[in-house]
Amino acid sequence: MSSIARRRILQGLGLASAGFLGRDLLKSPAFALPVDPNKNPLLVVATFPGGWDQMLALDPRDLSKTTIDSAAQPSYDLCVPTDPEVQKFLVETKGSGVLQPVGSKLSFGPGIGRMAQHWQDLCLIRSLDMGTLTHEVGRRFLLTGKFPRGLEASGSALGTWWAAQGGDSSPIPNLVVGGESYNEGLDIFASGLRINAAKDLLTVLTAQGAALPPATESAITDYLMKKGCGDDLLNGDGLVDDYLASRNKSLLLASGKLGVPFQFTATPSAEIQKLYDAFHINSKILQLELAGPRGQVMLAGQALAQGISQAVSINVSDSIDHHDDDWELRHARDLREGFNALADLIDFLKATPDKAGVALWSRTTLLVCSDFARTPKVNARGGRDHHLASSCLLAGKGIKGDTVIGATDSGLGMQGLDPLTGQVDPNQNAARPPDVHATLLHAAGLGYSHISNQMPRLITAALA
Amino acid sequence: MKGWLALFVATMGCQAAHTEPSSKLAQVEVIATGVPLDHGQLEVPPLSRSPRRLNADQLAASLPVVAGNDSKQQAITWTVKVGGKDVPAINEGGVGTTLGRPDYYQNTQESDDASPLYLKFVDDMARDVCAKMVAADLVQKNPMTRNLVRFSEFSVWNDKTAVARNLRYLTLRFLGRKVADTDVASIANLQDLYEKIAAAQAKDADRGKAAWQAVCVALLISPEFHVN
Repeated sequence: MSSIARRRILQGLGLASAGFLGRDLLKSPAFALPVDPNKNPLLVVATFPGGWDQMLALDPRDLSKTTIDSAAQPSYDLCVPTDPEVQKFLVETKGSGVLQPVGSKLSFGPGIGRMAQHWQDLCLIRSLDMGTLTHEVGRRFLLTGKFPRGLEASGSALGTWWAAQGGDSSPIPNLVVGGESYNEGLDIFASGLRINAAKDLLTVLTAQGAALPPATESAITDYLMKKGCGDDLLNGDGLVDDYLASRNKSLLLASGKLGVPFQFTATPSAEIQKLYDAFHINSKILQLELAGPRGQVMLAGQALAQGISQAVSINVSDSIDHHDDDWELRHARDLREGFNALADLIDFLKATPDKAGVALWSRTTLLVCSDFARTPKVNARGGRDHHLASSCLLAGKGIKGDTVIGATDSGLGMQGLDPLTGQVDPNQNAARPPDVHATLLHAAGLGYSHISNQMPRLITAALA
Repeated sequence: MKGWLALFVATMGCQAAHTEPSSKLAQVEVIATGVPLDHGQLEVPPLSRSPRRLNADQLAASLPVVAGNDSKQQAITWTVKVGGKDVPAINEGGVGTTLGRPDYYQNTQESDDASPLYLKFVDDMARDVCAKMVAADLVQKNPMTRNLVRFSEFSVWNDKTAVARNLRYLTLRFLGRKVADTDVASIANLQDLYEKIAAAQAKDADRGKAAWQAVCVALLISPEFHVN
């Protein structure tokens, strides 16, 4: 019986194979299994923060057929003066601005970059109902699969659930670069370790600068583990236990050589140079690169490849909340750079075997998303405002490639979805973030009962 | 007067079972004159909320209060090297954002997880601050102007009474918990730590310094300092 089959059976029975004792029983997901860490499913959540223009990427419109009366106006031509790549794209697509790779059902706009080359792996969910035009709400809805309470996130982030179900089997099970993460009631090991950049990860993985003698370190640790009377008073919700567990983990992380693969310098080792090449990193402008999408994605790839993390969340652009003419200047470029970096990540994971010799990509799930979409028409300031009907991109383990799920109408309006067929169905609701979470988790062999109060629908048309 | 009354009512709410309301009303004027009241033995009220970890701003504000001033009368705090210069660690130029302080651009909520990253920084912070506290105390001849070793001496490392008194003082200073002179149990673990480190040093001259530095680090790292 495969581990996934066992997991599903146990999930159905509500049994936990680990953590029967104490608070672990309360905190671990009931379906967590001690699976082989070398076979655990991996996750990358890539976010374009700020709300993306769907017509420039995942839900394009034909520019050549657009008139002044069209409800949705792609206006790709406005980007041409400052973005020669858009001009090139328009020439290649004979003025339509819509790229449909040969043999593919998918179509893309000028911001898709090299990601279009991976069409056989990609599943697009269009007409994704974000239910909000507020950045924090949209971002947190997508992160947790639960609609926030006001601005406050509800529930745990997808990466947290992913890590929790995989068990404490890697040094940093849930790595979060430059974004938010939430843990509501799950074990502390699954909490997203939030960093801003590669140097922060190196800090965590490197011994303290002013280390004390080993005997002193050991005596201090012994003292802390004895726990004083104050600690008992403060141990509500197990916070002191979590604190001490995290300290032990931090000492463990800093005690070895885990930081070596993350020593990104301008004069790198041969191994790191290979990594730079894979992600098109220009070491002459290294700090700029590390802070940008290529650096973020390289960090994610390396964390997965080195077995440091099971789930990695990254921002693949700076904020793209382009209400003004920065939309013309930057939006397509920002999307393209993010998608290019993610295309490199897929190539890298396909070329990198895990310990069993299997490509890491076969274990990886990729979710690419944004807070919400942008309006179908350019506003008076040359930008686009917030719009509900968004899209997202899924790929990887258990996901059916070359698939389009749902569609927006001619004015980028929301349309209902039949999750079984993936076709538009006016009698059903549009896809929502909980549906996406359920589908991704199910595809990776993980449970999604934690979002049951959001009434998630499994989008079976997206499953391989 | 209204404020005092409100305060009085709130205070008396905890004691309603013990005293008659009519007799309490008579005490309003006594409170208003500023005369402190001895409430005697009170039951510790149950915690009204879940304990939380200090946020970055609270940690930044706490350190100078606990660590005091250095020999130049500058507040001691945690610093990191940025571009060859020492800068306060818990700000944007240092590691403030990494510690979880929101930038209100991409992050608007501060994480209060006791994560391994936070604990890594706590370890770094404690080593830095305690080294500075020890250095400052070593040049202060008057014990009462010292912040770390006020009731003992670095050179007289084996005076158990003085060490215990100083440990009580440090427990109050670092953790805000008063340990009675007769209470030995509450400082027993710290005393063990002190003695273990002092005994491990090869030279007598190093014993007091190493032991007090270790006690300082242990107190600054302890969950009781960071969880409230």
